[in-house]
Amino acid sequence: MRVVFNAQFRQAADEINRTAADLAAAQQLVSSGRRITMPSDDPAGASAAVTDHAALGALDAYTKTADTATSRLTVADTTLSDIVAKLSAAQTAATSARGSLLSQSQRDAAAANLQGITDALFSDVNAQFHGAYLFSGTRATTAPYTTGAGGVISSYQGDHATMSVDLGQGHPLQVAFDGNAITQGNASVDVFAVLTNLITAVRAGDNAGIGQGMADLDRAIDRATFVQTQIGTNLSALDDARMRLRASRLDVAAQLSRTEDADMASAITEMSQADTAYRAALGAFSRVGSVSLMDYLR
Amino acid sequence: MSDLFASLSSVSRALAAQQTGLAVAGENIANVNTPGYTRRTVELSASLPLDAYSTGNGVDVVGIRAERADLIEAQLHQELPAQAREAATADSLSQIEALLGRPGTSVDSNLTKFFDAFSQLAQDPTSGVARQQVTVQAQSLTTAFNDVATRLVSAQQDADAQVRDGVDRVNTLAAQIASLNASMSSAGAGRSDTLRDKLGVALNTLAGLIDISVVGRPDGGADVSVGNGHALVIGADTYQLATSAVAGSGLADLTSGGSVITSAVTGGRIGGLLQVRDRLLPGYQTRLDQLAHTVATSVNTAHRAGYDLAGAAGIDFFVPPAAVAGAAIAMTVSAAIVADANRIAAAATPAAGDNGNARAIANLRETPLAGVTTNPVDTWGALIYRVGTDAQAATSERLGRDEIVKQLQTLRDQVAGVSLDEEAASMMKFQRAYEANARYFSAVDASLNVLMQMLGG
Repeated sequence: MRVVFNAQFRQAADEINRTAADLAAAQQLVSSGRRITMPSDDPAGASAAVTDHAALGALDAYTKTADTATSRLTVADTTLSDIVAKLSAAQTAATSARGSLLSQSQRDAAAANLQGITDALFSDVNAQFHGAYLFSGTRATTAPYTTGAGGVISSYQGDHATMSVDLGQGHPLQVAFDGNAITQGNASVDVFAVLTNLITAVRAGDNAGIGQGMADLDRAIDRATFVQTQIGTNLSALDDARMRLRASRLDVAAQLSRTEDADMASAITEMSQADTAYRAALGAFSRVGSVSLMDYLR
Repeated sequence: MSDLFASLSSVSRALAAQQTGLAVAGENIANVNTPGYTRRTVELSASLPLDAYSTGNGVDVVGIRAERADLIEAQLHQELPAQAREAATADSLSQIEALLGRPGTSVDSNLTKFFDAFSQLAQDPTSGVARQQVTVQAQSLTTAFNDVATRLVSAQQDADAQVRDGVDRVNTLAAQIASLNASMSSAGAGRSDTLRDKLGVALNTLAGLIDISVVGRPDGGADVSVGNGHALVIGADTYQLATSAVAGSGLADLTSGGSVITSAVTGGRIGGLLQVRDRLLPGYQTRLDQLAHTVATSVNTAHRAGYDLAGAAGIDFFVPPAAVAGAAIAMTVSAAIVADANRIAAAATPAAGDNGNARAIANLRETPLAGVTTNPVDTWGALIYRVGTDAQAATSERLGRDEIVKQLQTLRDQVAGVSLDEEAASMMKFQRAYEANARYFSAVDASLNVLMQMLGG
């Protein structure tokens, strides 16, 4: 085989180019820490990374939803506790007004107490979260109850629909409630009418009316407690959902890291190998054509 | 019967022959770095004796031969176009890959954020901030689609400009080859070898631009044709390539003598660029358009099924795309939605606080799109996969082709290249031979001197 000057130089220069490119790629891998900088580095990995990034985005959105839903349900839960407490207080006040030994002023005091409880109940049922009414079904911008002339409380203004949010594909969770189901349910009149009738009965010393009112309040407490239990169940479902979302997020993030991130130990090893190869190519080039027969002819 | 005077003439020819050998070595060394130069060797042959009683009549220079590797050159003319095609394809694709963006930072992330905004809206359907966020993210999404589509179009135009540039260079080289052919037919043997070296360089450069077939001419010139036998150079005549605009796209079609040869050009840099321009990029554009089209239409369908904050039926969320082609570059959020975020139909019922429709739209992120059977982000992932595999294939193909070309070049150089060691040896050889011949000359001269003195005596 004839070894010719030009080919020797060309091959040596090619070798330098190749090893320099390898070294640059290895250095980029180490400095960026990314296994995939271009889709062609690993097409399947890149498309899996696209999916995983989106999955992380969706999981984050569901987590955000779960957080907001938790705050919202906590407010609803607190409000319902308050409603139950108010209704119990109303029963206590009505009990104290029962019997034939009370003076009119005592009855009036009890009635005034009941009126105060009614007002507090009114504002509880109209509770809002971030400006949306919690107990008017899906009419979030409409107050469930309003007061008209002379403090008369209106009938239920919301609707009977409920509202849910998604904590994942096919994981809906109810976050807004039909206020009427709490205040009235299957009863013939709502809790405000019950209280109004009770106040009238207390003022009049109508023991039968007071008894009826107390029975109605019992049922109102049952309805509020029922919804509160539902909310409690939902809150614990939210805790589960958050744990599940966190676990999924960790899984997906780990998978994404395996796809996208460089294995540093092997990347650094590869870089030092590439560095050695590059130095060898440079050394080889310096020897090309450095000696020839010319040196020995005098 | 030899005589001294005949010896003098024979030795002077011998001196000239050794000088020629030395000159050839010098020429080879001078051109050691000249592209396309083929090493020359001197051919010597013993002269026939003048008569039956002579020992010989010295040496003759029969010729100076160029050590050509014609078969390998012919193989190079076939391999260079394939190598240049893969190189051009790989280079273009690496730019296209870069403009699509890294996973999680491009259209895919905009899609995720867009659906996130609807999921936020579902938590608080009456919130003005959440509605505004939907509009903002929708606009970012359409901008992302517009940008990527625009970049694909400009990549296509860039490839087109390079094709046109390549055609100009092909024509320049064709003219150069034709003029070399013309000089070749009138040149003597010595000049003709130098012209053939130049022709070789021109042909290799041309083969890097476009796939050619070369037919040698008896005088050492070459006839060249491109694209399924359309003549480019015949003898001293050129048949230049031209470009004409493709109706609609305005991209360049290659023509030769009035007939379109674009599809017949599959090699060389031009072939690679045409492949990127006419096959790969349109494929990516179609996929992007399909994604933009199905996202826009499925969001529109879902949006129209709902009710806005005022309880009115939903309108089109995006301006409905006219066709799949061009859907990405034209994607826009409806002006009515941009003007008034309350027109966003979050509710599935006319009640303001309902979030059913916002949930339905947010859930589209995991719903297979009509016509493509994958969800929006995975459809984008499929595009990334496609571009990635194309680029990967072009790069590995290029490496393989580079290797073939390198080996052919090495083989050619083994035959045609200049070895300095060899030339040093040959220099010494001719120098020593010259010295010896000169010594013989002086011996003959001395003998003649003796004769002359006797005569003059």
